[in-house]
Amino acid sequence: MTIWWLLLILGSLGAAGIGFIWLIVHVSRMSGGKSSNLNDSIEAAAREDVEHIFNDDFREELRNRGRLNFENIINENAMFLQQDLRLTIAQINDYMKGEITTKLQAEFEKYEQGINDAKQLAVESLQKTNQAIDEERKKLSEQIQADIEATKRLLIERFENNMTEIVNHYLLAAIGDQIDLNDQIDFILADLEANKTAIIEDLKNGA
Amino acid sequence: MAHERTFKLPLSIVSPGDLRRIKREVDELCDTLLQMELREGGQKQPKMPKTSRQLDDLIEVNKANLLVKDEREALVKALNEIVDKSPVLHMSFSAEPSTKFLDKLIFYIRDSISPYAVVTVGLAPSIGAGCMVRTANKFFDLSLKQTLIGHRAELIKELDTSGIVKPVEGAS
Repeated sequence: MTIWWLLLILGSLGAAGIGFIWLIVHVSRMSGGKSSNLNDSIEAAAREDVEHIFNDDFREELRNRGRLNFENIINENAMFLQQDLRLTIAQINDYMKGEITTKLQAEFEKYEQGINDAKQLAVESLQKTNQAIDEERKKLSEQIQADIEATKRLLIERFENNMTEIVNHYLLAAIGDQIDLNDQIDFILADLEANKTAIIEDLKNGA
Repeated sequence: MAHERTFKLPLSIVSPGDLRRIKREVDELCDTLLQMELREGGQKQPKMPKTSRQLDDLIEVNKANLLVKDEREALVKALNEIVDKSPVLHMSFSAEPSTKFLDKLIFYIRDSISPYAVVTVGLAPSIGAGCMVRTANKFFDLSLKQTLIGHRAELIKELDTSGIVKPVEGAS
């Protein structure tokens, strides 16, 4: 922006100088046709005036004024440039903040979405696992129950099949040492009486 | 047998071994008495053998006079026949039977089954109670176990009603 101001000022100064020179040349042309002497005298006077006007002091003054204007313009433009620079930096900061915030927010949203998806997947997986475990547990429970029933049935069948052995065993263990043969004589004689015919028959037919 | 109702076995003679031992004692006694008859007076007489309680019982129940040759020979003849032909019962008990028990048992056997039957007694502690009888061709299990088997249905019913064992469908 400062450069544009500088160029505008320089352009104004150039245009003013050119206009001034064109005016001098136009005036000299209008006066040149009347008489060459007059013209010469006028030209000489003009040259003298020009030389008088554009002497070294006047030029030095113009230079000083131009320098001052130039410095002022430079300072103003520097100030404007500084303001623009600060404004631009502030805008860039705001823009960067906004962009970074937007990007981070987007990334955070993606990250959160990813976490939520993973969490959902984990929950679904856990639910499926729990469901599978429940089903397996139910099957296992039913299997164990069936095995227990089968084992129980088998044990009872064995018990009933071998019940006489078991009862005999427990009777012997419990009262085996208290059973006296003398107390059994009636029982034994009754059994012998029941089998007497068979015994006699076998004794008669024996070898 | 020709000597039936005329010759008796005492209850103290139980086993075939007892019979063989009595026979040896009788033979020895007969030999001694024969030697005494052959020897003349003044010569040293052989010493009379001691008789066992079972032989004494045998002589007593048969009211035999062994000093009489005919009775002695009849006894020897009957003994020989009984040793060879007497029916033998092998009976096993859970414990060693007492003399009193054996007396009752032998009395029943000789009264109900055969007057000349002898018994070989064995031990079978596993039967608990009762006995097992083996004859020449047969085996009679008269033990408590066999009795329980015979009353198995009542035993199961009693266990079911007592709640000790719950009935199972399909169990035999």
